[in-house]
Amino acid sequence: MHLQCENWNRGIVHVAVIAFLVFASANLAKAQNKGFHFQNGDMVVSVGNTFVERAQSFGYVETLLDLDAGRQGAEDVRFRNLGWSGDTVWCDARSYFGPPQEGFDRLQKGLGELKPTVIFSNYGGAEAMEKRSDGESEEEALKRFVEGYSRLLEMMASSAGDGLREIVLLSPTPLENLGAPLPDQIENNKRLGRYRDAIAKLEQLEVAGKVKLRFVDLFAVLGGDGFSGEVSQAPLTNNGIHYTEAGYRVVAGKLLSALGMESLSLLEDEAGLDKLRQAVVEKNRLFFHRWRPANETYLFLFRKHEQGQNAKEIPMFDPLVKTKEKEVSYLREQVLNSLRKR
Amino acid sequence: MMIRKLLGILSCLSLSGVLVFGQGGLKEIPDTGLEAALKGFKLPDGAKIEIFASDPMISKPIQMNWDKEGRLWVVGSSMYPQIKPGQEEGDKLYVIEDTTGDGRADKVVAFADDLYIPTAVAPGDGGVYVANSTEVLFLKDTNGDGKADFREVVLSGFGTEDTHHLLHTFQFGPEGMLWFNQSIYIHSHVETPWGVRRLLGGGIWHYRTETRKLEVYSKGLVNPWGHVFDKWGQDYATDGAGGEGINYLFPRSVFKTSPGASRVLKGMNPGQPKHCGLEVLSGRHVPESWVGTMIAPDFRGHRVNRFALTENGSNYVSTQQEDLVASKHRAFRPIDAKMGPDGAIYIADWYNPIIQHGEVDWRDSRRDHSHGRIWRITFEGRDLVKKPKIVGQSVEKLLEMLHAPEGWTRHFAKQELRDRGREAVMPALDKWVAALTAENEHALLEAVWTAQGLNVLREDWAKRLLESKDHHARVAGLRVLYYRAGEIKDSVKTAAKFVLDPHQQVRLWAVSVLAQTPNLEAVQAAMKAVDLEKDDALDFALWSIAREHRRFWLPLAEKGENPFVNDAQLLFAARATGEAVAVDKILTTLEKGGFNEQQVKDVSDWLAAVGNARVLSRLFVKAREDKVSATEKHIILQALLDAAKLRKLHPAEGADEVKVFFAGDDVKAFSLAASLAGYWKVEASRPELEKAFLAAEQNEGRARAAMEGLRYLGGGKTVNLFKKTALDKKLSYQMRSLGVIGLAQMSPRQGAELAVLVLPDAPEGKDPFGIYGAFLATKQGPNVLAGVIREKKVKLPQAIALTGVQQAGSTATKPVGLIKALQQAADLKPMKTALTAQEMETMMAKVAKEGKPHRGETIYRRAAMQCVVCHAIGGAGGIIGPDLLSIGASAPVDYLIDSMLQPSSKIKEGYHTTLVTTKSGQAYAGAIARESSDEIVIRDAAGQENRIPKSEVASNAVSPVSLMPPGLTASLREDEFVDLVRFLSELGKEGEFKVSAKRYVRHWEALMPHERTRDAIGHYGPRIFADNFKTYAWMPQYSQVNGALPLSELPPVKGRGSNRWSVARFYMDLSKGGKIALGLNEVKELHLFVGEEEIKLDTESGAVVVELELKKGLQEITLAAKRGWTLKSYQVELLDVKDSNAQVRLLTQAEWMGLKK
Repeated sequence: MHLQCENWNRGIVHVAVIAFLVFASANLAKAQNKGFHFQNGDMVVSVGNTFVERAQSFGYVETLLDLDAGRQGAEDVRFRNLGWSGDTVWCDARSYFGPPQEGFDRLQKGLGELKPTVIFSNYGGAEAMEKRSDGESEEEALKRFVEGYSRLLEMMASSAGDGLREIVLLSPTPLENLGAPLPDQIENNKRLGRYRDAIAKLEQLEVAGKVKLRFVDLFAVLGGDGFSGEVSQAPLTNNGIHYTEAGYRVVAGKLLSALGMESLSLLEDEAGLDKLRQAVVEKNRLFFHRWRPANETYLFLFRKHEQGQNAKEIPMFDPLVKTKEKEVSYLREQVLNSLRKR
Repeated sequence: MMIRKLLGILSCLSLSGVLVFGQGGLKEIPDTGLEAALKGFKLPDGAKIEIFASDPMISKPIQMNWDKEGRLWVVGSSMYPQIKPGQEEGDKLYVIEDTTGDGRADKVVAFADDLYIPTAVAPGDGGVYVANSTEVLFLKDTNGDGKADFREVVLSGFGTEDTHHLLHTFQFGPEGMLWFNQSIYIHSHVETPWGVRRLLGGGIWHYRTETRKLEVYSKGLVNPWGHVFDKWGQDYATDGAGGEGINYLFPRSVFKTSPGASRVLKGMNPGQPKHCGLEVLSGRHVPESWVGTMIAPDFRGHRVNRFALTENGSNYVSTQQEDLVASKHRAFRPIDAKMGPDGAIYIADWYNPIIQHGEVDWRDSRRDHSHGRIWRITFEGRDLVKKPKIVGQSVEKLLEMLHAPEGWTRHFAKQELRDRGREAVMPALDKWVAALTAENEHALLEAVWTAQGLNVLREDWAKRLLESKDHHARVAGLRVLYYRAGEIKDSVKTAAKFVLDPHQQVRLWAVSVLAQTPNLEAVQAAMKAVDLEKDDALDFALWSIAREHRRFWLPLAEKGENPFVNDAQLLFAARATGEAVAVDKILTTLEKGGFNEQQVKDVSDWLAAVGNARVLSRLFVKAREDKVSATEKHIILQALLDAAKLRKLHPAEGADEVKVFFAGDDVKAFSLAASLAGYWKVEASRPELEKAFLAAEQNEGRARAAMEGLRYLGGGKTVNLFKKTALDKKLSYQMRSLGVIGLAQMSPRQGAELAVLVLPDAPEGKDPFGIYGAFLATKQGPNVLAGVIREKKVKLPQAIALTGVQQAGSTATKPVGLIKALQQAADLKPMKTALTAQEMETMMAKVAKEGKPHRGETIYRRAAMQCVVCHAIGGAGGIIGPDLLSIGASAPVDYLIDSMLQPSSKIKEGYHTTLVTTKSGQAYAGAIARESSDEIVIRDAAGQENRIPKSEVASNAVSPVSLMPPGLTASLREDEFVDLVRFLSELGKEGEFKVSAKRYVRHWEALMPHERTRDAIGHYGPRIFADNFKTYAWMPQYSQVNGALPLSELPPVKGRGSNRWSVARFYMDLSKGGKIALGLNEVKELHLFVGEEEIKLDTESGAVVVELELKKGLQEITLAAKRGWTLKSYQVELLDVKDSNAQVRLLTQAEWMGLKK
């Protein structure tokens, strides 16, 4: 943890201190979890369920990661969000007309094309909340999950290319009780905690290319462990499960702290930060139409013989993403400069 | 020769004069002005259409919904079908308002302008819910400037695989939940605080916004852009691509195209137009007789259809009425219909000459991206309703509004009460309910709904509904329990009381409530309904609960106990599982003769699919019992054959006894037994089979059955027999063909060597016995045949080679090698199928200028064209290809031309060919008729269903080849082709080629010439045609678009001397007996029979109406006409008789074939 930073603002120190306390009290600060470091030219890909998918339209997590990358001196860091609502380690949500394997293959192909150097992986939230089939116990389901996640990680490690350095395993986030008639989420949070424990153990897994696995306990830092059904007074979610804009802002700060990074500028350069964040969101919007366009049935699947000619438009988003990325990088410098001046 | 003809046409085209057209292909872009649109409309007398809102105020409306202030919220997309690179999400949500009360909107606000193909909108909860591609948004104006400044993603994870299938059709139901639909290509995965919800394929969801609980209600349908609740809360859906009209929904109902569904339900109007939107007419402004009828926009046909529903068991019969509005304007696209606050009807017009985006390029300049209208239909001489003031009204006044005749007023009063909150409303509501009299059940239901809207369950009130004498109220009461059955203490006990209710719909809902509670008691209670009459919907609900909750009753059944009260219930539940459970108990009952014929079939089919070899032995013993009827014998033998074919499973003992079925004249039993002998390898049966095979000319069916048997017996003996037969030139072509076919299926190589020797002798170049088919049915067959043709440098006559090319061309495996080999063998030039842009323009000009649609219809109906075999028009015709009902109104002419010349270039959704190859090398191509976890059923181009066990499937893929053979039009002259295109291009447009809402008989079967008629008519007169004479053969026949059946197209049947007759019959089903009437356009020389009884006609008059008193059940009506100098066309229309209780509907071929079985 970099608590004694020189000119970095007090607000963040404050957040980081709180994060540290939560972290320490949960007794999960591990010696080997040294701070996360970016490198020049990093391609950071996030995969996971709704938590990851929605992060792209608020931009906080990515913006703060990017800023700290800048502080660390890493240039040309790019982010790609491949989150998909309802997704699982078997890639249920990524498949269209076929079995989950089709989605698994789609993700594999995507990773092969993007060649990430770092992957943020957030699974377990949907799996823990899924109705189990008749007769399956939670233990069996959990075992199936661990096997599925191991297979997914192995696939990531072997498909992403030689540049893959690290996979960050984000635990599921805890649920909030927003009061009746919404559910109290006591049982769900207990189960999510058990999924978290299982994911934590995956850190020890050996995957192809000796890619480092780093576990980050979002569940703990967001208060999942102490939860006893109390109604949230200042909710971060709109339904007990999905974060609001303000919620993501908090999550972003906590995530960075948990990674041993510094979340910059939350309070100091609001205007600059917001401009940067908007550019990030806009870049994500463009990339969304690139990697997950509507009408895939006609563009790439079994009706492409009818309207497949329109698929030529899809790569035309690439230069647009690139241009937007230049703007992001320029704005990031602006923010960093304004912070350095302080 | 035939091939050259079209080539000739094409080269002529390119030389003939060139007309200048508008953009690309569409003949002309319709006039976009309002005047032109208004000129195009046709409405019933007294109805008037006016513009309510038009571009530029709004553009490209997709869905609309009112708010309680009487403002209309409309989402529109000019970005559809796909965002362009560089484009910002800029689609709009408009709020439009008529502030002056003159019936025309004068104010518009763009509430949101940053949406991406928003396909649904529903104001509520102080804001508005919007479907925005993958997400459901909640938007709100918090600062009062009329524009959204708060945006929350409420739900996400909805698929976008096809942008005309996106989440759509938002509405708040009477109980205050938000309902929405998704379509066939969409796969959704949604995380909610109550767990993950997934829906693959089409279906209908409901979502309670305050609890954030999301559930799937019904699954399937192709593109269901219509969903509505009637006055009693029953709900119905229409389908924009399904073509079965209105569908009755209930919990767990599953309709076609739902992935993995092993059973689906049907809509009420097979062969009806496809619809987008659905609304129930209500209130004082619409004509009294229209109240309660439903309107559904037919966007392809530029019209809004109207239907009247009558109850029929647990379901309904829907009868099409006169259209609400129809337009000649080619860009009028009604896609949503809503009753308004003033009692008028509002129609959203998407306005586009080109619909959807599968067929025409997305960036085609003919697409309209800017226009769009909301029309308003009123009725002259009827007062409009005063727009009710709802917001700000007292709770008491709002409650009084629940008595209003207008559905609009009742709905928004409830919405307002919901917004006021529990504390403000519940005490007053309590008082209001206390004052209701017993007969005021509907008001009580409104009160229950109001409470539900406040998320309050009033069980006591729901139970009062259950006590009602009116079944509508009982159904509604059960539905209230359904949504929260899990929280109600005695829901099982309560629902169980209604499982034997006298009304089937009540029973259906009782079962639906029970299905919500997963325990033994609930299933036991539900199964009692098996003992009473059950129609398809109720049967489905029972089947569904037995499967879903099997884990509760199955353990008992496995212990040999009957968890239910009788064998019929156990049989029902056991069959529903699709597994071999409780088998011994059920077989014992079968052996004791304890089951009726239907149950024997149920037992046999089920056990053939799941039973073991010992079980099959017991079935086979039963089939051989003397006292078992012939029908039951056939049933069991067929089941045993299915087991042999699909599961390679034989009876453990007694197979040799199959020979007992060879004697006697029961052909069907012989056929089944012959196949069984082969599959079971009963060598002792060979001599009998050989004898039957060689007697093909006497009885081809028997011979083919014997061939099958011999083939499966196999060995050198069979090979030699087939070889000898094929090579013996003294034998008939039929016999030789069978030799080739038999051998080809055993050894394609040897079969191919014989085929090239036999095919040159094919009569008229036809392949009547299916030699090509034998090769095309296997994976390696086409290549083997092609190889032999090339190796041996075979020469074939052109005609038989062309037949082969056509058959191969429509095979999903696309055997290019065989097509080439056949072309070389007969020196055929490859057919030119693609037109240059210039040729296309010329062709289209000819269609417009010279095409004669009536002649085109005659060509369409020619047997040689085979159009009718696969395609229906308004339900009349084959079911293999899409219904062409409104193809002319929806497809541009160039599309029609392309589809005929290159069928594979355009394939309608739902009509893709699936190609399944099996591990043993068989290939099956066709549409997926059904699919379960262990079986896939493919309907091939001949309409045949092929059952393939999943364990046998080697590959399963969607093929890019259409089932429609290319080159069907190759035999046409240019003028004929032009006429045919012209006919198709007129289909569905206002005019003579629009299928009328009148109930003309469209499905017939015609008597084939028979040796008996000539002599018998002398003795008995024309009534011999209505005799139930066993060996009469009947072939399917369909009426023309105008409903007439031309005598000239029916086979002439011999009468006395040189007299010739033609005979056709049709069927009706009466769910209630009573008086009905038939309108006949022409009765001269006509005889009419109901069953075998002749109804005397007044043959002097021209047209007549005949009243008939008919009993409940299937009714056969036969028409016999003597053919004279001129051949007339007969039109028969089903008419209602005033005050009659009869409930009658005309049956389709498929329906009566099913019922007659």
